[in-house]
Amino acid sequence: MRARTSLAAAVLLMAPLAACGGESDTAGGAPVVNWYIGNEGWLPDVIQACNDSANGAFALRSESLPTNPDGQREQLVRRLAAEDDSIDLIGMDVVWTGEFAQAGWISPFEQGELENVGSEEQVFKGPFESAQYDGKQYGAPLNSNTRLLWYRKSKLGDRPVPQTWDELFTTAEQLKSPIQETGARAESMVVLFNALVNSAGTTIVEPGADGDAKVVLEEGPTLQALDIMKRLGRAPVAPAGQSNLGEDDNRLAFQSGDSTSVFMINWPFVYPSVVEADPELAKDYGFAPFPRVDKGTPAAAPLGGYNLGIGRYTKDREAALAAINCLTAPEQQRTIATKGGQPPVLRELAQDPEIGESLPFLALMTEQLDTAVPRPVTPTYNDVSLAVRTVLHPLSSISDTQKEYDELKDLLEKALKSQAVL
Amino acid sequence: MTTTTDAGSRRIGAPEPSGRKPAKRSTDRAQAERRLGIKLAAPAAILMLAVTAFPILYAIWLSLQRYDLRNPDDKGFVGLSNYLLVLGDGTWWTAVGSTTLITVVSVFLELVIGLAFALVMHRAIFGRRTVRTAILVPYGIITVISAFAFAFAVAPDTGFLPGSVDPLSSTGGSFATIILTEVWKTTPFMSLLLLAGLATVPEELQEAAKVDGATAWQRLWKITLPNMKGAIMVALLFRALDAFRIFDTVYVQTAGALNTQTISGLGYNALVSRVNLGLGSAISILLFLMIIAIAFVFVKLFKTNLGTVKGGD
Repeated sequence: MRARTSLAAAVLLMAPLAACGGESDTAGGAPVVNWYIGNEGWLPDVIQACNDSANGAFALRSESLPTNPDGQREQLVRRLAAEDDSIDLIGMDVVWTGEFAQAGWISPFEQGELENVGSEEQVFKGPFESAQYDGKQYGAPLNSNTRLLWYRKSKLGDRPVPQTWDELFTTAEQLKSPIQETGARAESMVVLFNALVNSAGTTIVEPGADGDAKVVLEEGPTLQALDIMKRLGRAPVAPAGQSNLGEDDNRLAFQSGDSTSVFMINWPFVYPSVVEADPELAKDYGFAPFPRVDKGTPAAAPLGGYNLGIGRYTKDREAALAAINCLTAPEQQRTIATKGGQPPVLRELAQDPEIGESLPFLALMTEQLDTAVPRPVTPTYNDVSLAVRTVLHPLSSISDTQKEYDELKDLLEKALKSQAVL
Repeated sequence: MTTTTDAGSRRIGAPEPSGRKPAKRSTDRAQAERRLGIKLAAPAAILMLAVTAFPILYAIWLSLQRYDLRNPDDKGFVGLSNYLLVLGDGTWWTAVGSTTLITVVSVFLELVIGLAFALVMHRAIFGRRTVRTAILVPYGIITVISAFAFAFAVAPDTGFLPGSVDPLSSTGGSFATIILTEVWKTTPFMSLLLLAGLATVPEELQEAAKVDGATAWQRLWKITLPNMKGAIMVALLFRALDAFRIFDTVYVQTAGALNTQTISGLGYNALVSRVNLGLGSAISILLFLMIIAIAFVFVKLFKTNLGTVKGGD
């Protein structure tokens, strides 16, 4: 987390400089499409590929945003609220759809405008739902993401791979091994909470436009979810410094030589990383589905990834749309998957051999994407997220789950209406 | 800035009334000078109004509205309800408590250490410049950077602390780290202000006391400190106003976790992250009022004279 935040800070300082380079609106006759997105390794490749095939329909350029999603969102929100017309295309985290749509910062897609990602027949269920708001499609799913259970084969030995949280805790306790799971006061905590709550059979918020959204959180299943979070915060399962651990800290801890952890729950970017750092160690990495709450029901795995949105104040919506149709094409999805370890959203690529070669867990992930449940698509998502972090951090402080439940529900009711001090 | 000019002008003006009483009716010349003075000061005054008064008034106006950029259509005048919402919320009072704790402890430590530094700088015989520069270095470092430096220094993986000691995972440890960072960073500022005060303590008094057999400790308490009381109060006031608005260090090191959230942090969350302009402005205005209250207490109750760094009268 530290390294990432410091990098984010550096990027944040640089961003205004980049934004000031007064650029013309056409490049060699083609209308320029400015794409605001966090810096990703695969960006130059897909931009190059799309510009090569554009035939003057558009000239795509990326404007780099900070590395962490909170920072990306803050910069976008400031610009969009000021009606910045240089924002043509936005790489939106899956949780921003509701907020951006309600505020009128992105324009919805009409039926048939999206060639590749316009229907649920084309796109996995989870990513598709994350792009809908108030009965309209506001986002074009670009790539997806979901967390898996990672384990060290040599350390687990011939014990069975845990399928449920209960089994995971039992095995980890027997092995006296911490479970590398995030515990920082950050979005990652909401990712975990949302997955647990939905796996247990309820949901945080029932979506609705114009302030009609309601807090659901049925008591029984929520207590079950809170109990799992409580156990994650207890020794010997809780890793050292848990209350500050982010995804990247876990990746580093798990792949470091002196790690005692047998298990980690994380996004698949950990795999390309270990392949690059230590190919021998990578062979020891096993992967399994995100743990279930109930043995008979598939888990509602966490869902991440980018949706593309078109800025409301763009000067050339046609060009931006053409760029989206290129970026969501199978070829670009393949590049993103193989270069970034981020799985595609297109159903047709579920069995793709080329992606499967660099991401051995592709089949597992695409299976999870159909049962994954997006975090609440609601205009005040950010308030909801801050409320969850406020009540549940640090995990080690959760003792009386009933008390936490009452507190959380109360704060969420206020947060949903943007009436809480957070 | 204003303080030094005020002090300067007063000192220049001071010898004047020594001989005769000032005339009751001002002369034409004095009136013309007065008019010229107003004209010369006007541009600066107008600029100040534009860059400070306008934003403050605008924030007050916003704080009386229901105005959330995420829902721009649902906007309207709501009177004081944003304030009632903030003041009736436990999170707000926790933030007030933690901000006060950080302010009081860090300013106190800065005063003690800053005074020691000031004495060293004042009495240094060899390498006077080097000593002064060395003491001032932390103040030249950007707060975000020093916050990161201390966060790295206490982290279990990159830090200097033994074993798995991790201050930033407990409330006490987090406060200690934040306060340590603040003290390290701003003590030089404090000692600079105190050094200015030390320079005004008459050397004759010190020598007379020495002749009378006063120990160094007695001279510090009976002569130096009473004579620089004014400077100490000014330094405390400046630092208290500054420390109460603390944001960067907490944002970087804990992001408000473990009950370390400060008032500025709440304002940032509401204004920048949640773009709830009404609620966020109410928090900012409340912070503004608290800052005014601190300044008022210092100036009226403790009789801090901002016009002079010289004390003891």
